[in-house]
Amino acid sequence: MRMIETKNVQLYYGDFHALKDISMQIESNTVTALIGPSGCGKSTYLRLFNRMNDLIDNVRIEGDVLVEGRDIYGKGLGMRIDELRKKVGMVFQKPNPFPKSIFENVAYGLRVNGIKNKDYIEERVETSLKQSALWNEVKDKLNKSAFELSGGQQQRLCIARALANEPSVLLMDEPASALDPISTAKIEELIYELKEKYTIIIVTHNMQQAGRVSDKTAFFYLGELIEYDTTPHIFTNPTDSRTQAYVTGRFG
Amino acid sequence: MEKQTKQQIAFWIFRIFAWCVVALLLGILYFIFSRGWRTISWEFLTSIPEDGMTKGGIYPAIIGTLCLVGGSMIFAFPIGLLAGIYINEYAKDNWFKRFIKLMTNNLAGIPSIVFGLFGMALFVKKLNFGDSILAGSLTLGLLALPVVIRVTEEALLAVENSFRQGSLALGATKLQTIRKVVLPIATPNIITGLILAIGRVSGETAPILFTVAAYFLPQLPTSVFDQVMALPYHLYVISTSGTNITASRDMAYGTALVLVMIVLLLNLLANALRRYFSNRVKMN
Amino acid sequence: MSHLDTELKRLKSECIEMFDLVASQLRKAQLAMVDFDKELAHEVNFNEKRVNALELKIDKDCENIFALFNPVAIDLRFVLAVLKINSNLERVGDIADGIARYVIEAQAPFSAELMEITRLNEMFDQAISMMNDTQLAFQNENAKLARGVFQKDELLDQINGAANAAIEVVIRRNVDGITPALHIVSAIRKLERTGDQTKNVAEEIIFYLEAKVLKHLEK
Repeated sequence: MRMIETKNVQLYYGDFHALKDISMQIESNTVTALIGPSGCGKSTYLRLFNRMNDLIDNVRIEGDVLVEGRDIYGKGLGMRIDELRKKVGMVFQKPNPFPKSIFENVAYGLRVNGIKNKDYIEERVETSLKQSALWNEVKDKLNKSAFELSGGQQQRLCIARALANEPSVLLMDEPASALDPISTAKIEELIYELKEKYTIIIVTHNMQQAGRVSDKTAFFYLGELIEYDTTPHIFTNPTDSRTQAYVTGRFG
Repeated sequence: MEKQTKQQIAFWIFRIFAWCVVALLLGILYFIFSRGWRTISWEFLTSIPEDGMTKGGIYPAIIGTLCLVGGSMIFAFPIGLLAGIYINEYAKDNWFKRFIKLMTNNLAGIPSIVFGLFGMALFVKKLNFGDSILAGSLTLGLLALPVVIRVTEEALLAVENSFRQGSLALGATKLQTIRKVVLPIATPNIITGLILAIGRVSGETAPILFTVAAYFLPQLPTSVFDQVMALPYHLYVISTSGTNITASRDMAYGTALVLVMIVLLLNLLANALRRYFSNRVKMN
Repeated sequence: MSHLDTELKRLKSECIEMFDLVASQLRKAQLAMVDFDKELAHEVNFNEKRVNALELKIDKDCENIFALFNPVAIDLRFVLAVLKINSNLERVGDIADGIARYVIEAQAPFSAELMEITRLNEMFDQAISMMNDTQLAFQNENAKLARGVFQKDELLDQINGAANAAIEVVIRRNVDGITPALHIVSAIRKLERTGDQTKNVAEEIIFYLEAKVLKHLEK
């Protein structure tokens, strides 16, 4: 099934043309890696799907962005922004748990979306923590502050927090770049497991990481989508010479 | 010269200057303590001035100062907090926001005597509050407002954007994000700033000079339209224009000591509250 | 199990499949020759395409694992070893195919006597047994079993060395049967080569398990 589609998307920050005519389709239950040098537009592209670019002043977006076939930028059969953000979860570069207890962190998304049923919240918190492979480490200290967890655990808590909303898509913006190698490996394993239930899009600067976790890879350069193909193809025999130069570490 | 020697010398210069600052502070405290502590007694704190303010206590002045500080905060805190939230969270980064920020900064730079004159013109005369706690509190509140706004703004600015984004990305609205995530994180800093503002306000003389302060009023206020005595003004009065300046010297040092103690206690309170809140925020 | 482990496990089972396939090709080539079963020989010839396809598949998988997972240490040696084992096995497959072609080209059954005195059957059995040992060594990560293969190769060398003299006698006696006789000698030569290939495979297994390089050493 096609989970996400963009058609001829243009994005401007003021006068700066940040995304140039991007058309791309992402199937459900796949991991798609967005790679490219800094400032190539990959993070901007990622933030299209939960409308996080809206937070920046002077942004102008043209073209269509469809999630589950519905235009998320409000034309036609639009989708409300809070509904969209429940459906499309996001994990950030630096672990950013709220200064609340572990339990309240995971319950946050449910609470702000108006869910009050205590039993249901408890059940969702437990399920989400299990899915993010954190349950066994925190089940005895759910009321402790999230800040007492290690960086890697905090990041898995942030993943659990996003999963509690039962999203279909998970956006990850360099989710392991602030973590040590062991925590990174855990996050990568988690991504590999989570794709059974979710569609995952991950921005990464780490080429090996893209190779390890993703099914498809998209290479961005100067706001353009240069190449989008299966990950083995991008990493063994890229079609475009710029992709080849980037994945071999010759520029970027 | 050896690198090590240079480092040693520089290190000692820094150390000496730091000691100088501490020594100066301790010197002032010692000066006031040594001259004032004998005057301090339960009676001094709880009785009214007598004999042309050469005897008796400073009870009305203490109560007056507390009323004024409380009143000014009731006025300045909510407005300043909301304004700070608006500037930092809602206002788009355009000329209007920059204008507001420039104006609040200017407001903070205005000499306090000007606030006093303005308060007299607006609250005492125009709005006809007369010399009263209300007029004095509003004037002091105006003085505190830019401080509160700036403190709030800076406390909010110190909250990392990733918290806001994290909350919004979960489907929270902007208001939910501010209420449930941003404000709890900023609270310790806001409280600290607020108490420092209180400390500042409690020591101000000029704004209350024309709006509330009584030269001598040996009774407690009964409504917000009453005049009151206030510690800083009382201190000014008995050390410069009292009936018998030499005779009231001890009273002056005692009053100064009380004022210093209040400010000191407020600062300690600010610290304690900050610690309490930052723990609570983490645990919550 | 980690993602890389899953991929390595899959690679291993593909490689075992290659072992099975090539050993069965060799066995069928033997039967085709002994029983003069042309149909079976054709089957070997046909299956050679499968061997080639599997070789390409394993090559591609190794390439992907290198590119995507950057394996290190034992994982790296494993993938390197599989890459080389793969091409050695493919050559054994070629050899089985070559032998099957002799059967297809031959006009009449090979003389049982000739096969008897050249010990061809014995050689087939030994070559296949070596294959089985290396396969087991690979499957069970058993370096000791892999080392045993080097001894077994000596029998192949011995039979190969004696084959010329034995066949010469027969050819002198019966000049008409020279072509089938030459085919038998060629088959023996080829089988001797499978021994070398199998030894290479055993070396790769030891390299992968123990990080020891046995190539170009006296063993």
